[in-house]
Amino acid sequence: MPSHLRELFRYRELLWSWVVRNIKVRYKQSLLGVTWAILQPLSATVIMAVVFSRFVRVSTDGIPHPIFYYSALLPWTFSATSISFGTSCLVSNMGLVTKIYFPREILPISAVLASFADFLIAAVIFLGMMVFYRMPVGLSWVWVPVLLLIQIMLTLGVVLFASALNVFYRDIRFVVPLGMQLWMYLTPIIYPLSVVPERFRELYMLNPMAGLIDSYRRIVLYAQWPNATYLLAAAAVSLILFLLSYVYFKRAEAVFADII
Amino acid sequence: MAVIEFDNVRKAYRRHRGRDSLRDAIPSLLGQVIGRDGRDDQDLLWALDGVSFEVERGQVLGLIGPNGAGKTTTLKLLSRVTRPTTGRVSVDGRFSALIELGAGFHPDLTGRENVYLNGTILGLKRREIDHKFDSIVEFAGLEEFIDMPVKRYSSGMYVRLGFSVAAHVDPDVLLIDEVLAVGDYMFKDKCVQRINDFRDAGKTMVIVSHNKEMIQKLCDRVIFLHRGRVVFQGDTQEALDLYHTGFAGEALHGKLRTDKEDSPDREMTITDVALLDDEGQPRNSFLTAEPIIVQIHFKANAPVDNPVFYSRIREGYRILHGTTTARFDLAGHFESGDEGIAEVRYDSLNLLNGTYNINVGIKRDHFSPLTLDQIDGAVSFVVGSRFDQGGALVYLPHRWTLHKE
Repeated sequence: MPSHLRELFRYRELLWSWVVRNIKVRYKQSLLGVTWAILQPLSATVIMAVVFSRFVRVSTDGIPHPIFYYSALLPWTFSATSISFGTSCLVSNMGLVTKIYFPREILPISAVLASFADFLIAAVIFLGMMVFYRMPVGLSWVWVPVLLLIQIMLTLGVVLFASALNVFYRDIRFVVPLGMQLWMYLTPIIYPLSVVPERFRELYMLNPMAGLIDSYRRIVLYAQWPNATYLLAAAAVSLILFLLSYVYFKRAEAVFADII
Repeated sequence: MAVIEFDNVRKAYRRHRGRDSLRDAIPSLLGQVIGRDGRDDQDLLWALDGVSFEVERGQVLGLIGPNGAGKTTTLKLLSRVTRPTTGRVSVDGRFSALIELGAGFHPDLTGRENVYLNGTILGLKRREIDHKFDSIVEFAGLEEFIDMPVKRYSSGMYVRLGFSVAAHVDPDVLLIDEVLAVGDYMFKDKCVQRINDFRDAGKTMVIVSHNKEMIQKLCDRVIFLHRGRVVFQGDTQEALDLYHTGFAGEALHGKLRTDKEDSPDREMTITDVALLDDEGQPRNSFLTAEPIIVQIHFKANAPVDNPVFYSRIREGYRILHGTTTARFDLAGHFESGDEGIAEVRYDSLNLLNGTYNINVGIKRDHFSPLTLDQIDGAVSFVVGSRFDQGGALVYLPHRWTLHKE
C-alpha cells in the first residue's frame, strides 16, 4: 500500500491533468455546460419538493421542503455521478490502458474529483438557499470538510471496486444504476432519519451514506453537531470499504490491459 | 551495464475471453470454491514462451518476426502495460513508449490542451511541457492549428502531434512500435532523423518494424522472434537475411512436417506446399499486387473420388481469404500411390506490408467437416508495399474523385 501511494504521488501531475480533462470534456460536450452541475440536484429537488409537499405529505421535520431535499441531494448527487461516471472509466479509456503505463487508479480517482467540481458549483445554489430561508449558521460547520472527506473516501471505495469489476464483467454497468436506486431509498434523502423506526436504526446506520446525510442535515439545517456514534460508524465503514477496494483494484490492475 | 533485462519471460493470453458476464462468472466462482477452475490450459495462448535477452545502455535493439511472433507483447512488457505470466522483466530508467501515437488524445480538447495531457501521461512535468511547448508544436508543424480541437485534425496532423509529444519526453529508454508506417514522407524523414538523434545521444532503444531499411539503418543488434520464441539474436544483417530469405516459412514448414509424418491410415497426405511467383520460382516475399501461386503437393494412399482442396491466407490466426476447389467443379479420381499437385493462382496479391501464412488441407467433399490432411501455417511469406497502409492489411484497387457542387 505505501509503495502504491508513493507511486501515485509521483504521478500527481497526471492526476491533476486528468481531473481537468474530465471537467473540460464534460462541459465542452454538453449544450448547457456548467449549468448541468446545478440542474441535476436542483431539478430533483424541485420534483421532490412539489410531489412530497402537494401530492404526498412526507414529513421534513418542519424544514422548508426545497432546502430539506437539496441539502441531501447535493452530496448524494456528488456520489451518484461519481459512481455512474467512474464505473466505466477504465473500459472507456481502454486505448490508454492498453498502450501506456501509469497507476490505473488515476482514472477512477479523477472521475470522483471531477464530480467534486460539479458539487462545488452546485453548492453555490445551496448557500443562496441558506440565505433565502434564513437558516441558522453555527460553529458545527467546521465538520463539513470532515464529512466531505469521509464521503470522498466512501465514493472512491465504490468507484475503485465497480470500475475494476466492470473490466471483468461488462454487465456491472446495468447493475450499478439499480444499486444506486436502492441505495438512495436506504438513505435518509427523501425522508428524515426520524421516520426510521428505532429498532431498525442500528442496522440502518451500517449504511455509511445514512450517517453522512444525517450529519450534513444536522449541521446545515439545524446548526447542530453531528451524532458522534453515527458519524464514527460511517467513517469506519467507509475506511474499510476504501481499503478493501484499493487492495482489490491494485491486485486486479495487473491483468487490466490483457482483458480490456 | 544492462538497462533492459528479460529473464525467461513467458506471457500467456486466454484464447477465448471467458467470463464476460455475471452469468458466466457465477458457475466459475462456484468452480473455484469447489477447487476446479472449469477452464483448462488448452485455452492459453503463449504470446511469449521463454524469452531472455539484455540490452546494454546506448544500444539499439530491433525486433523482427512475423505477425503474432510476440514483438508487441515484448514492448508492452517493457512499458509495464502488462506483466509477465512467469519470468522477470526489468527496465532501468525513465522510458517512453511510442506504441500508439496520440493515445489519450481527446477529440474535444484543443491541440494545446492535448499536448499537456499527453505529455503528463508520458511522464512529463507541467513545467517541462511549458518549456518544450513551442518546440513540440514547431516539430509537428502545427503552429496555426494548435488551438483547434483535435477532432478537426487530419489523421496526419494527429500522428505528427503524437510523435512530437512522445519525442520530447527525453526518455532513457525509447520503445518504438511500427509507428512510422503512417504519416507523409517528409514527416517520416523528420521522425527517422529524430530517432537518429536519440541514437547519437546514447539512448537505449527497442524498435519493432517490418521496414527492413529502418532496422538496417538504426539497429546495433536484432532479435528475430517467431511464435513467442527467440529464433535468432545477434548481428542485424544476419538476422534480416535469415528473415527475408524465408527462414520463417522454411522453419515452420519443416517443423510441421515432422508432426505430420506420412501416416498410412490417411487416405491422402500433403507432401509439400510451395509458394511460387509468376515465373514459377519459389519465393517467400512478394510485392502488393504481384501474382502468387500456392501449390499443394499430395499423395493418395487409398482410392479417393473428387477430394476437395482448400487454401487460406491468414494473418496470424485470422483468415483473410479462403478458397476451395469445390467452387471450381474440379473432379478427379486418385488411386493408391497416385501423386499430384493442386494449384491456386492469385493474379493480384492484394495484401499490404506484413507477414502472412498459408493454411492448406484436403477434405473428402465440400460438406465434410473432417479433413483427410491439413497443414496450418504451412508456409509464410512477407509482403512489401509501396502503398500507405495506416494499419490496414488489404489493398482494394480504388480511386477518389472530388467534386464541387
